[in-house]
Amino acid sequence: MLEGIDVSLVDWSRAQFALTAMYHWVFVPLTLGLGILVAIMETLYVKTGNPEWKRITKFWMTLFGINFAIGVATGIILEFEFGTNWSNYSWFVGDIFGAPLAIEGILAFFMESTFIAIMFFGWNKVSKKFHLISTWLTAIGANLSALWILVANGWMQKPTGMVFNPETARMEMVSFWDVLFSPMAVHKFLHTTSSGFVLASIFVIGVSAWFILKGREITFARKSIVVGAIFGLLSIFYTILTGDSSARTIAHDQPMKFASFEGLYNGSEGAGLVALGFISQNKADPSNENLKDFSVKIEIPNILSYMAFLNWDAFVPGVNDLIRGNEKYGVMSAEDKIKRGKIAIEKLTAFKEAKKGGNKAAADSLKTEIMSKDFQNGYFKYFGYGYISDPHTLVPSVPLSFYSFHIMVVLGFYFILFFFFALFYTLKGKVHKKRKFLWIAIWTIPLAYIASQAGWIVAEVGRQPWVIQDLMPTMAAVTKISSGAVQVTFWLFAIIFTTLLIAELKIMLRQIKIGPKTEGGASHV
Amino acid sequence: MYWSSILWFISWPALVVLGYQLIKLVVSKYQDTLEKPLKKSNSKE
Repeated sequence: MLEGIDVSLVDWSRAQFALTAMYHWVFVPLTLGLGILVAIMETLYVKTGNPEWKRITKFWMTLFGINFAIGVATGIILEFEFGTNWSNYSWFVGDIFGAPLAIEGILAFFMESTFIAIMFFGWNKVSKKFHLISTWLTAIGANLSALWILVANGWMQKPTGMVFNPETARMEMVSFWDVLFSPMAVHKFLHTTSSGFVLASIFVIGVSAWFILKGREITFARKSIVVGAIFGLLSIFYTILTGDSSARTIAHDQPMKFASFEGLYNGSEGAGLVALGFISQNKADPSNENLKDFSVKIEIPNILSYMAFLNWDAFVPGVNDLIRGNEKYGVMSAEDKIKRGKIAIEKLTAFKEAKKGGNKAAADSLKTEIMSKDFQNGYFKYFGYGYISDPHTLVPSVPLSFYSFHIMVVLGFYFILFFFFALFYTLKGKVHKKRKFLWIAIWTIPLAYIASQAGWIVAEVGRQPWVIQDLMPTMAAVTKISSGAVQVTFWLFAIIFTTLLIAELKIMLRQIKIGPKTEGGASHV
Repeated sequence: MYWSSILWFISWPALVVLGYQLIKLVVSKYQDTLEKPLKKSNSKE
């Protein structure tokens, strides 16, 4: 596997960030969803006064706590990497990107940290209602943390609410609300957090299934399954709905990503959605290594056009249209964008030189030109393309985007059936007899993680080569340090994160084996 | 200008509230089934 890795600085920096992000995302979705599920369970306890709900709440709360602690550790490293590995990026857009991250730290993190202490150690020390409020605030705080990170990520995918300052060569925020309410950010938040609800619901059902298979804690397991299945069923429909809206914003703002994860090489009116496809090793286009032929491809006609533009016959541009351009449909070629990007860079360089040389008149004139609406829309919009030498490098990995997207979608539809049967069997009082289903429930847990990771691969691999869409390519964002240093930290992090994951799994499995405890501390077996 | 995004944001707590209400309803309606001891249900079925 190592032979395949390019040892260049950019690739190692990307590999390190991907490693940290993917490990972080092992822990986060469970925290997002399990927090809400625990809050729902505790509300049932407070409303009904049934002590069984308290046992249920406390058991899942323990697993939430283990997962939360390890998730925080990986998240902090991720934020530091913006400074250590992506300092050019941080310099260029720190004024914008820093704001949501700071809000996350101040508001959400402090909120979570404060109330999580009451949630874990406040039983019998504070009133039932105050404890319940603390649990809800912890769960909401965890999701608010995600909101600000996803707002920052959404901005990278669709930069908005900012203006370029030629004096400092930095992006500056002019509208916080444009950044927060950007459709890209909103849909990203809703889709990502609800996918966390789905994952946590599957986790609750899977672990409960294990108890039933062992013949232990049947009432606890049935009640947990009902909570997980109902919340999971609602969440998966919501995830699909927000995923659909997300796809529409991507089709509009990141057409190359959209074409790549759909394997659409040549655009067409009434474009079909690939329901099933396998990519072969044969090149589909001799000029582009990234485009391989499909060995199997089953399409549903017109669906992609509708998905992208809510019009069955709309034109959806393919990868080749976006590279070569398509005059008929007003698609600009990559060469044209590169030319415009180079002009933007040249103007900025000329401005800097005029300023350095003390030529105030020339500097003022160039600044006025750079800041003009025509220049911003006609040239500066394509600033990042000025760093691109080969238009074909604008195409992300099609196989990785395509398979990740389709795996996510297929699993998403499978989860609907899964939640339905979990609920149906439990409410019919037959779930303990469905041993095959119970085993499937356990093995659905890793599938939920696969779907979740696949979603992030679509989002992040699909937008390459951009770190900020159209404005900054990844290669321009990296910190100029030795790739050897990045390699050392890559392996160091790989070892630390793997150790953390093993530790989490061991502690979790031990707690699951112990099972829910009664008020005195003993567990029912 | 932001109405569409605000409406989408509101749908998030609505999902959670709807989830809770539905769970509460189902759990109270099926309480007997959920709390039925295993041995009893085995002999019945």
